[in-house]
Amino acid sequence: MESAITRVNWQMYQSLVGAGLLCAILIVSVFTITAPVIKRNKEEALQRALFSILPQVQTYKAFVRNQHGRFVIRDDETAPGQVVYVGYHQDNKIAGIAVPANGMGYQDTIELLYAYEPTRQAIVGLVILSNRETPGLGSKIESDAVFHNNFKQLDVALTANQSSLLHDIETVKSGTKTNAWEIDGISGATISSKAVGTIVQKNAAVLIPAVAQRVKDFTIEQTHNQR
Amino acid sequence: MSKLITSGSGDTSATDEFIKGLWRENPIFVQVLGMCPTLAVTNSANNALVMGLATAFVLTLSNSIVSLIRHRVPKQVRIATYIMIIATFVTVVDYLIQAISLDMHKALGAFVPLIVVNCLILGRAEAFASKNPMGKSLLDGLGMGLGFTIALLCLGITRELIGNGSIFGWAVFADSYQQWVIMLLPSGGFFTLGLWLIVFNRLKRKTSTITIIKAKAKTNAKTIVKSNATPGTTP
Repeated sequence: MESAITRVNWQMYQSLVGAGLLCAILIVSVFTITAPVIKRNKEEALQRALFSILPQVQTYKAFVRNQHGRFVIRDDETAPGQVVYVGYHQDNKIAGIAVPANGMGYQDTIELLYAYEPTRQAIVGLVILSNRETPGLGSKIESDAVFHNNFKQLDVALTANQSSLLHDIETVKSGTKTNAWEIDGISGATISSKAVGTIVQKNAAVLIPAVAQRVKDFTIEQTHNQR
Repeated sequence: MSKLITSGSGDTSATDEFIKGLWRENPIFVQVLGMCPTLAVTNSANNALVMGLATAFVLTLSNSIVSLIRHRVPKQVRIATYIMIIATFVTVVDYLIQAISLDMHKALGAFVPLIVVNCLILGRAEAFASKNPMGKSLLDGLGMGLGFTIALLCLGITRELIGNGSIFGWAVFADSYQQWVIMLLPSGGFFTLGLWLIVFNRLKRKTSTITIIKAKAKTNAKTIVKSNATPGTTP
């Protein structure tokens, strides 16, 4: 009796572990084959997003913030640190800075790209790169035009010593925005729209003062990645 | 392949396994399964086609594998094993769509991973593939998948045509056409599904009425022949 139970248990282990192993091999194989293509597609999508939020940009260059807090040209894609994409006018003057940021949404990570214009001390655009929010509700963060209008002139002015934001970015209830540093949330997508606001606030609070203090790091003679 | 198919119960029944998913047991219009993607992603013909093909891919392969291992999996862990197989093929299809078109992947959003919980796929694995040979299961998956794709396309084309004045992105009506935006919204999905169900059921009823009439006519003809033949045989 006991041996029969052991046999059944063993069969169950065999079938689950066997199927699991085969499934894992198949997933890893497909991932290995498709990963380079997906990476290229994502790079193309990033370029499109970059030029859509900073349309006046002629060329851009990727920088990474190293452990000393300095921004250096990113030669190695795997280099650790916050990446920023600096867009230049034709005369090599800074037109704007696109910053990738991510954070937790309602059910998975939201990846986004926001554009910062140092001369206006404002966030001037936002694109959601990827999200897995609830379709029809949270997914509105990607398509809701009124919500995206919040990021056309979102105040991120700095304090006099440029060490922090003058006002924290806040997401408020839909239709109750009164200040330039507030974001009107989306009714029906409250958690997701708040998540976007939090991601931008957390990133901007650290990065924008750093950019303002190290703006000379971005001065270059020649840039690649022409439009 | 043909050996596998005929190893079931003959060529006719193998063809029937394929055809039934297209019409008699269509997953959407008859079984009303997989309503979540049906209503959500059919706002354009392109989305509908890709979602249909992705589901058909997962359905066909998972049916085949489930059928292949049906004698080796103990019944206590069969559902867990089926789900693992289905989830694997969904992950594969997710990577493939990302590789083919990132925009399409973005448009389909969370609905590609949600294929795992499409009741049609687990339903066919449990109700059909686990009890039938591989060839028949493969054909069943193909037929059901194709039936699902065709039904999604019916909805997608209708909604895009009325809601956007185009089919597969190609403009059909003149610029002056007033688009019915409601057709692209979730409520438009319900309207379109309702309309297609009316059309499908009417067509189905008509077809079955014709079949009944034909069958009756055949029986009547046989009875007449029999009754005519009776006096002659008994003089």
